[in-house]
Amino acid sequence: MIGSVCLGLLSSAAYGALLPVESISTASNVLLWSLWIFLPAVTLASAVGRRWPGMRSRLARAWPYAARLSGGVGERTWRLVAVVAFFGASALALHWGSDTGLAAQLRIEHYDRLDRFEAVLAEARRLPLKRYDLPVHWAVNRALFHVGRLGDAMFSYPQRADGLVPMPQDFDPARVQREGARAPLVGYAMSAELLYELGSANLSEAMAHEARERAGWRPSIIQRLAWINAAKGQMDAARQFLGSLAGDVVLGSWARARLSPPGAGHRLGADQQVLDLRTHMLTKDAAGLPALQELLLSLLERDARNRMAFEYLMAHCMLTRRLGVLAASIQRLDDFGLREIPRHYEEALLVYADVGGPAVDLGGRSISLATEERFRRFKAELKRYAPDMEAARRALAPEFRDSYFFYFAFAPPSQGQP
Amino acid sequence: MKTRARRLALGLVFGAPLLAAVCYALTWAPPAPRDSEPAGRPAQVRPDYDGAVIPPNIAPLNFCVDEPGSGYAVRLAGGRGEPLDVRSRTGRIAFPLRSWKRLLRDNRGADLRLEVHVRGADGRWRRFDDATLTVAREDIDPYVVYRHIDPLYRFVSSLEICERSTETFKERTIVNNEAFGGCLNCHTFLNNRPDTMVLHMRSGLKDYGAGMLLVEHGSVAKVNTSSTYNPGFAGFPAWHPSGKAVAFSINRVRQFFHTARAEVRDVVDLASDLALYRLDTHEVTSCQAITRPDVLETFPAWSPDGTYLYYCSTPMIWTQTPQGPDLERYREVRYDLMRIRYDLATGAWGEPETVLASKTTGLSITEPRVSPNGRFIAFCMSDYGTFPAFQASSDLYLMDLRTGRYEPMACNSNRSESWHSWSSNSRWLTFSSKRADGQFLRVYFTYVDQEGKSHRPFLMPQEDPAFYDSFIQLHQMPELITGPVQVSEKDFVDAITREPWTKAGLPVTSASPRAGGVPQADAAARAPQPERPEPWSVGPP
Repeated sequence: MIGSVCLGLLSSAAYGALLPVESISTASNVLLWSLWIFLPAVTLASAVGRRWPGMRSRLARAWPYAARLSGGVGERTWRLVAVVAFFGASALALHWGSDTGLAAQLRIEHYDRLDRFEAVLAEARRLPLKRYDLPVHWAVNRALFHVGRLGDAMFSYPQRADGLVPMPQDFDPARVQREGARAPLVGYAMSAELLYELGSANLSEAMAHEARERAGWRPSIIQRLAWINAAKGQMDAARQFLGSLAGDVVLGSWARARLSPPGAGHRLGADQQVLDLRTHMLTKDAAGLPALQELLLSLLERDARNRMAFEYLMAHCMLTRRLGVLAASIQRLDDFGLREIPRHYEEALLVYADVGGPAVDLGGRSISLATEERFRRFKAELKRYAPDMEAARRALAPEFRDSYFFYFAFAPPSQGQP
Repeated sequence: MKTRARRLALGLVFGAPLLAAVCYALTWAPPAPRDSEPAGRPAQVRPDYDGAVIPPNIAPLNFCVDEPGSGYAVRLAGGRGEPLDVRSRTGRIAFPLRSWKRLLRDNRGADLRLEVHVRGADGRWRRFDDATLTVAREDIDPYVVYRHIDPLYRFVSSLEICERSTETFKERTIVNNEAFGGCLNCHTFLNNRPDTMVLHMRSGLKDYGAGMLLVEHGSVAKVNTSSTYNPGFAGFPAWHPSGKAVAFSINRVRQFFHTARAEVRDVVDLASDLALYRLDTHEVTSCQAITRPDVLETFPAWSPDGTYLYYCSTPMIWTQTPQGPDLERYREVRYDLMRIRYDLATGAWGEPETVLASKTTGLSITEPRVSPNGRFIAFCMSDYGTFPAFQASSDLYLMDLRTGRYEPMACNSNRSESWHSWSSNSRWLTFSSKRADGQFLRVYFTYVDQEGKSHRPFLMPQEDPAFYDSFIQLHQMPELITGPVQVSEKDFVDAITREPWTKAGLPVTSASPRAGGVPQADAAARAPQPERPEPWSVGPP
């Protein structure tokens, strides 16, 4: 309660949004409000009790049965019973109301915000499939990129065609309703972050403002807006955002240091986040909302060494089965000095050739024998079960679930076009 | 009793001096400057009001001195009356209200000189070059109404229409969108009067409909102006000076984003037309001249005698593709300034006349507002487009309606100026500008003399001189009014949430636009959404 007051949180947010308890059911709401009201209620009861010492005897006269029951029990025992009852009730309530799946989702979101990528992946590995909502997909793929395993291990985790980057046009009201309450609330902020890292400053700015409008005051969002404006050279606007953060408990000192006169503090323009964005942010203006593929290609046109744009492009091509674009982009591996082809790209290239795609110039690279052999086995097993695709899926899952072959063969057609 | 008396006595003996010491520490101000050395330059202050022309009834122009120092002293003096001295430890200068008002009243029509002294760490005072404020003869209207909002993209959570006294710092919320979660926009007053106004609303989370909120005679009525001819949302209302009609436009707006421009957002009208709501007959009417399907008409504004409706128009250049309108040519959109005669008594419309063509200016003309004395018309001009708030190139221009000559106003900056409106005496123009940082609209005031020359504008003052340092919201669409709005917030909310909509009718005569000539609701919004893939995930056990 004190924390919620000091940090300017709504009490319901302090006890609701930050706890792994589903707050949409009546029972959970009762539980939450009981927890919240417990302290003030006990304080009030204690004050009343002290003020009216005759209360106990009056209660005893009003409820003689209770008085008889308690008459034989000492004061100390009563206290012990009360304490045990309180802790027991709390434990039961937490057990009854807690949602471990939601707790895991919140931890993933939390680790993602802190850039603790291995922790994101560790939590994701334990997460039940039904808990893989969009924010989890976004966080997992981001973590895989940052630990350097997106091209080799993305299909070791559940994937979906729109699980890479939430684009502004994805937040239409019907979809928001389908995905449930969590996706849009965290989605805007995650979108702003991902678009920022990719180098799309303007779209990141748009989504940061949407996040601010949706989620309310969040220092991290304001900080991002300060960075974006600084990267765009709009220092007056950046200072406004810094000014609004100057009194914040969490980021106040960070903001004040950057508001200091030149030479007396740290320049916002020297922040690594600003420098990174400037190196690859889009500078050629286009009007309208680009699709993800178009955006990623524009980013690579701006900076061919934008690694995140490249890896996300390849991932997007695989998820949406646009293997022609993937094949055409394979030579971009040269821009990063990579001599080996990541496993999933190899798998995609084999699939591409199998469905009739033309030969691809690998720039002196080759597909590993292990991947080729694995593909041969996959095809043979698939043939054995055809046309019963469901039986094939069940049979092949144990060995091939983590491969692109499996995704390509068994993802619903609506997930992407070949 | 004895113990209690002793405690009281001890409290007084120790507590009173302690309290006095605390009060002294909080209110201590540096001594008056002596023998200040000239600094040889103006002081860095924010906001900077040097050279501004101010109304004699404006609230104090508090400001911060951005010079390093251990003490600050300012003196504001005119040819008449006692000078006003303020000293501060922090550089925040707040003028006492009564003394300020007295000084301005005594120096109406004259200049005020502002001295700024700063004491350095060595205890020596420096005096910076004096600043000058000119007090105009004419008052400004005592209230300004504006919308207080976040920089919005597509989603709106909270916004409010606020009324602020220009003579003090008091601000109150006229209405906010908390009760219905939607949008409130286009507040407009009849002849700067607070008792008759129009406001538009659109529902959000809770569906209370969309339409016009009409305030008259102390009550709020809901008017649904949509019809088969004009099913879209109404906006940009403009009162006929008689109070018997409200012109409005019906716009099908499309917002889009730029991938690499300073201002991210941009706006086009896919379609727009003009119509008129007659309060006397409760009917919506229009004419074909201002509802052409091949032309975009918008931004209606009446002449003060009610004989002309000024507006902006441009040919429709969008071509339809299977994916929707092709907006590639958005940079080519430039509006002309037009007017059309209207006879309120007979309902007869004249023919459109071009007042100023975009071909002549090379710019897009938007948001015309005629001064109450009928002499001038102020408008925005920008490189292209229909939404000057999103165009850094947008500047304010003033045309003398007697001669047709126009020129940019002196109050412009290299950032967007827009959303202007006149005071009731035609001497003050208020407008929103992004000049401070390029992102946040702020309310400014500029004096326009009888010859149509505008003077250096000043920022709407705040009680806290550092208010704008941390304010990351917008004040947009300021409208000056002669008194406080006559209805309460509760009246608005009750009307929105409980009152039924009054449907405006269509006239039986042929003065209606032909069917299909006004924007339909966005067809794309009505089309069934493509099937999204069900979440399909295959992962490790």
